[in-house]
Amino acid sequence: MPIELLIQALLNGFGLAVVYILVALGLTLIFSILEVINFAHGEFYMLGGFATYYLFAVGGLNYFATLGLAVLLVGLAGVVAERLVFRHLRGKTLNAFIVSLGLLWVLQATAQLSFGVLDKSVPSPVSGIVRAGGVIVSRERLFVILTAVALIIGLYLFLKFTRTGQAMRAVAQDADAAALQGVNIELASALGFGIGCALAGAAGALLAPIFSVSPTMGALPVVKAFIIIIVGGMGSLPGAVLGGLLLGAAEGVGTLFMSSAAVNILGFLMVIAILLLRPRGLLGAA
Amino acid sequence: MPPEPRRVDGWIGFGVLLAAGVALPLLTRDSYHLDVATGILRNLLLTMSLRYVMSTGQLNMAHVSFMGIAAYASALLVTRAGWSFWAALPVAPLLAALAAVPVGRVALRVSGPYYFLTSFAFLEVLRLVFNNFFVDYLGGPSGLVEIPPPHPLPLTGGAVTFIGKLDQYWLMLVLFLASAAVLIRLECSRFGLVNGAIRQGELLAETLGVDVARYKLGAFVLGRSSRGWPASSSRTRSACCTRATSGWSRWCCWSCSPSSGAPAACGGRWSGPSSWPSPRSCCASCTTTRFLSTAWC
Repeated sequence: MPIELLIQALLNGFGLAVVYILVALGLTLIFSILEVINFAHGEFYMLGGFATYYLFAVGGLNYFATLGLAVLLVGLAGVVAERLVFRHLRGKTLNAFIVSLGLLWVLQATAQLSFGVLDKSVPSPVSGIVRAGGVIVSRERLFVILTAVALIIGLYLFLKFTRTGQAMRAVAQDADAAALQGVNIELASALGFGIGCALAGAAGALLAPIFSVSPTMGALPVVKAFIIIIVGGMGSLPGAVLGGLLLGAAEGVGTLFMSSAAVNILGFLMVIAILLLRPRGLLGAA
Repeated sequence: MPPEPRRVDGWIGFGVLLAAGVALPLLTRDSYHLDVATGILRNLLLTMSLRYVMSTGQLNMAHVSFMGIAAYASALLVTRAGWSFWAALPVAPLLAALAAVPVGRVALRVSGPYYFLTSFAFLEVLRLVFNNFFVDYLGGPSGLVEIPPPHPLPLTGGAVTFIGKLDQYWLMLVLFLASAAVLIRLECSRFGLVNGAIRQGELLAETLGVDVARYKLGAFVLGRSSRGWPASSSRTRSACCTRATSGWSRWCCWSCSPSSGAPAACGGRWSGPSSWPSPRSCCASCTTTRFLSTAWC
């Protein structure tokens, strides 16, 4: 097999994987802070897509301003969801799961009623391609990859070096101990949920010009995100990145040899293999 | 031994449901009412099967997948192998149970959210398989269609055909009552009590000498096999079997009473969106399940 083809396949796989990593990072951040498996996370991704459609495609706003606004709006929606719903369910994983499932249907049905059921296309903000040797990548994809990587690095720096980020990590490790040290748990939870949803919104806004926007667009990314966090280890941010890269590599290379349906199964087979070999995920805590 | 009065409560509840189930066709023969009642009974049956699985405290999303396995198995046995519906009815749950053994062995290596997500992964794999592979056999996205109705019930001289709504209602009622009786008996048995102990404190149960893995697998497989009953019997209603049978979207109304440990199954789209259960059917199902779960053991 030509090496260019392999690199191209890997690049295609990573191109989508970095965006799914954003969704997975949001999910795992929410889980580590609130112990909530947010099944409605894909709907926040969908909100990011629709925000982009209405602000950029319909409203004619600059795409980069749209991206920032979409992240902000979806983040605020996440804060509202945390305050109204999930705050009361901290640590109650089962109840929170059920509620998030309800929220999923509410948001999806509301989107269908408000925005219609038909797919909506968003024009591409950047055009052209970049060639490097035998590898070709569109500027649009390159922009998506670079922005997603920048957001991942930004999240890492925020959690590692800022006081608020450290407080959130403390809550994730032990909420009671963090409270005893004076950390405002409610604020950390709201911020964690808001940032998690904002990341999903960013992913939706980034992929809106590549794929069409629809009320059910959140289903696939959230499934991929679940695969990523199981493979990487729930609650582990580096694990989510590693899991995403592995999934991207597997799917990218997989497309060279098998059908798209078989490639979709590949991720789930990875999950089963990881669970057999290391049930807590690659970087999950014991 | 379980406290005797609670077991009596369970059988009283069973008696009330038996009386209500038998009385309904005497009060109405309206096909819509009978169809809704059949749907409620099917949902109750599904809920009871989930209760087996959740008796050890594990939330499982792959439950609908096994309904899909049983439904497809039953339909394939009838359409491809030429089996009678009555022969396929008990075999389909057994096949679902067989499939559950290896899946359970893998999935039960983890617990809590990991188990839940693993079951979700399995559900998605199966949905993708139903949707994209073996299209000649499984029908792809369209599913299996034109499944013949059950043969007339043996020994009735062709009087009970299961083509009408009333016959379908009776079939579902009999299956429901039989399963309810087994569930009551099981919940009061050593198996049920040990599962309850595992749910309350897995580590404690293990230190008391309980083989937790074995009991969990037992509940897992038992739930899967009982899931096959409604799957194969429901084909009498629709003559169609689609990959939506195993869609995770069905989980939407499964959990009306999670805190009581008896989520209510309100899955629907057996042969397309038009056959989603009505909210009334859903609520009735949830309420009755809650009543059952609090009534017995």
